[in-house]
Formats: sequence, C-alpha cells, structure tokens
Amino acid sequence: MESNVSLRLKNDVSELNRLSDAVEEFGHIHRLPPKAIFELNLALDEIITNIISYGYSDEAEHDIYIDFNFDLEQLIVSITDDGVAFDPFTLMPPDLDMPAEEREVGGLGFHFVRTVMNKVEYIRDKNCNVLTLYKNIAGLEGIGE
Amino acid sequence: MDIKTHGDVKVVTLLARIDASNAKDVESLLQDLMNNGSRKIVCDFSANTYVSSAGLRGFLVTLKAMNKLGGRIVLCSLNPFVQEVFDMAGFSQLFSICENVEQALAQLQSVN
Repeated sequence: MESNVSLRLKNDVSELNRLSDAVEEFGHIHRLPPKAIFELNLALDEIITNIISYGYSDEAEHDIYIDFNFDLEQLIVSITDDGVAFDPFTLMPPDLDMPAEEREVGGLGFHFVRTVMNKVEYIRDKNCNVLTLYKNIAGLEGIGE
Repeated sequence: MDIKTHGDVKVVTLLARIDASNAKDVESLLQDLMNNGSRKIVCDFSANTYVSSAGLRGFLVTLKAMNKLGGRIVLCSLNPFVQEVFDMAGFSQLFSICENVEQALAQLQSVN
C-alpha cells in the first residue's frame, strides 16, 4: 500500500467539515480526480452521519476512526465505530420510482455509498462496526492531473 | 442565505455546503417562506458545491408542501456533482431543474 492516513472524529455533525477538509487534502495529495474526491466525501459523510444519528444508545462522546489506504489501483477506506451493532446492508433500499408524495430520504445515504463505491463490506469485529469501502482509481478520468 | 424577490417569486441562494450540520437551517428557511405566503420559490445552487442526503430532505419536504399548496419550487444552477446527487436519489425526475435563475423565473412565470 502506498499510503495510509488515519482520521479520528467525534460523534458530532460539527466534525463533518473536518472530514471534508481531510478528504480534500488526501485527494489533492494523491491527485484524485475532483469527481472521486466528491464521491469519497459524500460516502464518508453519509456513513458518519448515520453513525452519529443512530449508532449510540447513550449521550456520550465516542470516537469514529477512518483509515485511508491508497495504492495505484484502488482506494480502500475503512470506518470503525464502537456503536450498537448495525449492518447497513439490512436497510431497505429506497424506492426511487415512487411519486414525490410517498418519497422519503431514509436509506438514501447508504444507497449513495453503494453507488459511488465499487465494493462495500461490513463486519462486526468484537464490539465495533467496521465498514470498508473500495474504489477503483486506475483508469479514472482525470487521475494524476 | 441570500433571498431576492422577483415579483411573486422568492429566489434563495443556497449555502456552499448543505449537510447534516446545517440541513435544518435550509429546511426552516424554506418553511418560513411558505408560511409567509410564498408559492413560487427558486433554489439557486450557483454558490453550492455539495449536498448530502440530509440536505435533500429540505427540498423534498418543500416540494411536498408546495404540491399540497398549489405552489412551485424550481431548482437551478446545479453543478455536475450536485446534479449527480439528485440523479442518484431519483430526485431529478421529481424536481424542475433549470440551468440558471433566468430560466427558472421564466418557468414560474409561464405557469397559471
């Protein structure tokens, strides 16, 4: 692996700006195309927001860890939290064809994650949820510019 | 957020980023406009570069409310990444999306 960066966030939506800055910087250093940076930011935002909103049964402060790994072929990002056991694959995917009156935004976050990433894996490791995202980088338009 | 009035239309210039930390502010602003009688709203994305699913909620809620009230909401000037978010959410087929404010105003003025 060419690079390894770790980020520790608190379970608070005020941390989303710091996440965005970290992703921009990581993307800039590795010369990822703007679209890939946007999509990575979006995917991580959605996951972190879900963890913050639903992941804890207490009011305490918790740490969420994001590890970025990058080689020339792919980006591998893992998100680890110590919240309640939650497998996002058990979420109902949103029905995108319903008329406006019946649409909700629930489930869209993880749907975005699965759409912009090439592969997503979930495991429960001891008392942590670990979500791993894979995005192919080789061959993306604009890579290395 | 900047709000301009063009006849009976309110044009809202949205923030640069809309995510879980501030989505409620956008939703409240749109709600207030409707509560104060606005039935034609343009959401101008020209200063916006990022919307997450939390941000989409405010637009959906406003669309539903406007449908009930017989009003209209039009979005304009979405950058390609924000357009992608709307596409992934299946929202591009729900909303009127224009290139710019002029087109959005023209659309709203051509409706009864």
